[in-house]
Amino acid sequence: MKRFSALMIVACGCLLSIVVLQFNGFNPADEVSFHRNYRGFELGQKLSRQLPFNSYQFLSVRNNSIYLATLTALRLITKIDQKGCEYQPYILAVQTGQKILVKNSDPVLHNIHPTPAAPGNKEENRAQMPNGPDLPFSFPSPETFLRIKCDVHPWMFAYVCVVDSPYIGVTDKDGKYTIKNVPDGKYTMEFYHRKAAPLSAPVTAEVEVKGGAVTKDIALEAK
Amino acid sequence: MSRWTGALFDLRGFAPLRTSSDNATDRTLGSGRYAQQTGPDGASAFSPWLHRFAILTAISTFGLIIIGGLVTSHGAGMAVPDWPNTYGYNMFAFPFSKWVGGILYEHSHRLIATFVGLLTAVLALWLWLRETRGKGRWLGVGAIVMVLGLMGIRALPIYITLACLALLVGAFSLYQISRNFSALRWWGALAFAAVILQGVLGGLRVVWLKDQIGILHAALAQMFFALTCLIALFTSRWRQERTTLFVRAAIPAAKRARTESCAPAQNVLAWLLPVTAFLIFAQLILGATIRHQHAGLAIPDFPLAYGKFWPSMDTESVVQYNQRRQEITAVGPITALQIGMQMAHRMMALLICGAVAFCAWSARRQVGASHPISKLTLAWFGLILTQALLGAATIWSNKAADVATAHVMVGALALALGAIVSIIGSRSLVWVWGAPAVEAQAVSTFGLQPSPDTGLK
Repeated sequence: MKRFSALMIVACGCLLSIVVLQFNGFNPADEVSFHRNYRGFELGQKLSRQLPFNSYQFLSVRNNSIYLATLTALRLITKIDQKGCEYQPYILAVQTGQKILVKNSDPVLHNIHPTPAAPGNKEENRAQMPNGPDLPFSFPSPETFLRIKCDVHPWMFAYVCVVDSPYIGVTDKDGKYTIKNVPDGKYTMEFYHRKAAPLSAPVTAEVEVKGGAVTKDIALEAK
Repeated sequence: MSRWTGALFDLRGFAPLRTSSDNATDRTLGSGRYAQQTGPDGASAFSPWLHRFAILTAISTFGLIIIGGLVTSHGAGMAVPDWPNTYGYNMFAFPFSKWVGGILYEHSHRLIATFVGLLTAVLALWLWLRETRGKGRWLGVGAIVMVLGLMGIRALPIYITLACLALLVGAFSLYQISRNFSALRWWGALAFAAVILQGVLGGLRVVWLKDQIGILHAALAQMFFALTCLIALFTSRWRQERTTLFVRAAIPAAKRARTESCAPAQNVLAWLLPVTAFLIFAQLILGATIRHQHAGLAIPDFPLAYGKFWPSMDTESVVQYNQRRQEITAVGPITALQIGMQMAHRMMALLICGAVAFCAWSARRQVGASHPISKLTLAWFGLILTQALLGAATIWSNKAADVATAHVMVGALALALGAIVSIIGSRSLVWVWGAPAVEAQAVSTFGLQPSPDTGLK
């Protein structure tokens, strides 16, 4: 009986510790308040990144005859900020080899964990303390929707689209996009969307640029 | 006298007793005459504190599996990017204020793992000291202490070297166990080698960023928990008293079976129990693969799969499935292979349910409802049903971390109970076949199976 009682006490202790971990441990008070209840988050509090549907498309303009010549023309350092336990921006488009600086504006530590799939792009997992120095990343191989995540805060993730062309863009929340400095010529535009136009089936459109701005509207639809 | 009496085993001492056939008839079951006797190979008698310590190790290991399950359920396996340090701190000096988010689970997992490692080292030392004499004794003690010291240096090359050595020691321990099942010192050595390997695998999964190592880590965790449970069983009074109970309970059933001309080949329990336990282990590996790919919701509905009995897995369908998925956490798009694994997991669960139910039914039929094997297999069946329900609840709850972790917990318990039932079954159910002869001689047939060589029917 004594042994049984001891076992029951241990079992109750284990259960209690699980409950405590589950409801109090994950998001302490010093973290962002809207993530306080992880279960609640799972149930739909944090779905803004999915909506509206037409936002955050990634697109590229491809024309082999010109982008090779201008490959290095627009190489700039670009930034991803961690603010409010979210990555800003959610989708970033960069050229191959372009330097990305990841900044931590939060009062909590994060880990930055890119999980590339393309050969040549290196998976890393680096720690970043609150207000620590910016961490540089770069990816030499083209890869669409390369995911960067934080394992400390599992809801934190963002995508980097690495393209070997400078003529790239990401739509805003209203679905608008602009690609500047495109020389005159005929191009094939490729549109990607996490849901409506995945990697295996990008939507394409032909466009001709001739001495000025060209508008091209595309409708994407999830099946 | 048949040949098998020349190599009799005494269940009470858990060690082979090389007795003559003449004095074998003098023994009576449960007389206690050999209860405190040490076997010729040095196998030791019951020690209550050793047994309690083994139970503590098993319970701590179970706690470790729970926290490990929480780590994966929360996707926090990589929340601490370095190892053996934690964010540059010594693991034991990492400030409590920084235990936030996924770090809480991962860091707790590391600390509890260290505790379990120490418990296992002490258990291995204890078993080694009790069962060895002379140079071998101090050689073993020195080796364990040296390994603990090397672990304290906390350098990756040393850890990798120790893991390789642990593989060798584990293999050698298995070899020794196959030669002498009752040598608990080798069980202890096996557990120590396993815990070293397990710890290093956990660390390498972090620094090498490999999911495959995580799957191996999860599978070895389940094996290690079953191993600690078996050691707790072997250090218990089971060898001395409970076995006698099993045997006594089995004899009437054996007589009945003999009366009904029940052929030995019909008694499938002795092999069905370990086969079912192995099926559960295979299922756990499959589950670990699904979990570590974060593909637990590759099929979001249950009992149907995407509204069908068998989901479409062509490219077009998979694209559509992915379009419907909401990305709440950083998981990749699902693949046809992951859907296939999920279906295999479900089919396997059905098979295991059937196999365990058959074990329980078969045990009741062959050795009676009051036999401990019958009770244990019934409890096993209850665990499997609970596990199936938790699997369904994991889907229905959108893979809530606590439900998914409970699924891991009960899976570990089901495997451990399966291992225990298999071991007990293999060492008591043999009596059913040979019971009339055994009853006459009042000795057990520990380790011997019916065959033309053993003369058992």
